[in-house]
Amino acid sequence: MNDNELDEILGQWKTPAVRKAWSTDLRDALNALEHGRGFFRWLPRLMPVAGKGLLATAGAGVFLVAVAAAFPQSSAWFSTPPPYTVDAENIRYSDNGTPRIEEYFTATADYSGRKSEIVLSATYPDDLHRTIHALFMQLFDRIPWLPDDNSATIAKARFTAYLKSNCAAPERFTIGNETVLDHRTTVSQNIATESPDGKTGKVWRLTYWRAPDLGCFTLKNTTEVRQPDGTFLLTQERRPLKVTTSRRQ
Amino acid sequence: MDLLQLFDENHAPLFRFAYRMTGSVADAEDIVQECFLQLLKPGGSYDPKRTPIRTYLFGVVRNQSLKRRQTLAEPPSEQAHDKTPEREYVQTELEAVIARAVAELPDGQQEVLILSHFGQLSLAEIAEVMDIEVTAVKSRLQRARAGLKETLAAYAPGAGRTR
Repeated sequence: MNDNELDEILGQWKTPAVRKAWSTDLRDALNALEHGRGFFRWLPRLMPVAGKGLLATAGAGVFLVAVAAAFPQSSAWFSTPPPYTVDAENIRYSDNGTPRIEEYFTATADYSGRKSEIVLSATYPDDLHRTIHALFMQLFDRIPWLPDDNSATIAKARFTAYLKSNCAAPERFTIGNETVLDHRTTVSQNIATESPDGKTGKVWRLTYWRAPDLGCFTLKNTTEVRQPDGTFLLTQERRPLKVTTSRRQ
Repeated sequence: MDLLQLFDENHAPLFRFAYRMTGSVADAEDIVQECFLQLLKPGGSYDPKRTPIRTYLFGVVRNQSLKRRQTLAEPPSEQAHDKTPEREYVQTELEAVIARAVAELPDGQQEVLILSHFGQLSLAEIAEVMDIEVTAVKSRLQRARAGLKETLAAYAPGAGRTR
């Protein structure tokens, strides 16, 4: 075989085309990152000049923003309300099908893509300790984190792609569309060997109703456990009560 | 050159290089993503005075690809070219044979061949990417091509073999 013949053979080893969705998402993420860097670039130069005074002022500012985010009703001028909130309840079912309301909560989607949702308030009728714990967790959830690292930008880009896909999660099967509280939802389902609350040893069927116009918020979900005869028994359900849209939207 | 222009001009050849090194679309995408993110990391390793940007990018992709392969502890010919049912891209028999033949080249030879033949990098650029002498690149390329001529002899035009 001569060199030309080898080149001819090697020339037949093609590669898959670059996926358009991947390159677009990555490009968007890099663009956002680059601008983010530009925005924060002046900070290190300014700090030595302004000294401790600026540091203290900045610290106080962060504290105020955090408090305002946690308690928007006390300083509505300070924080931007989420575009909508959803009031819902979580229901547990016993083996004989008796329902028990485990939790009432108000939540919204996390448009930064870091979490699936942000819980604004939650109460547990039968569990005071858990209610108090939830209060502390909500404070952390509502601190407006700065886009200070690459993972935040990538999370945002992935979330944008997820929104564009009408909430079709790659790891789940889309089984249809339903309207819940006047919002069109994408219904997806998957079979899991671990329940959402971490139980193992059985097989669960998880179904989600996610609303594209609410940032893919899960308006409703169900958890069912497989029985020995192959049927599924409902063990948990998220039931939406109300969707409240912000006046600013 | 700004970052987006750099991305537009280089992400496709880098993806192809990573794919040929790993045999996996998902790995190639991750590697290229990591490559561009490294450029933005504060205190990153890129020094424009020392290395042209294109060479630097290919070098990062090379290192990441080798790391992935070490993690998998399995040659790409086995782990990716034959056993990835979810791949959208379907190789012909000849492509699979070529991929396997290249993957079976000793590591240094494989990279040199891919960078030279498919990446169209010059010998000097490859030497920078791999941090070796140009003469070493030259000899590895010659050995790689000689090896492939033997392995793929049956597929040479006019060798009398049909696919």
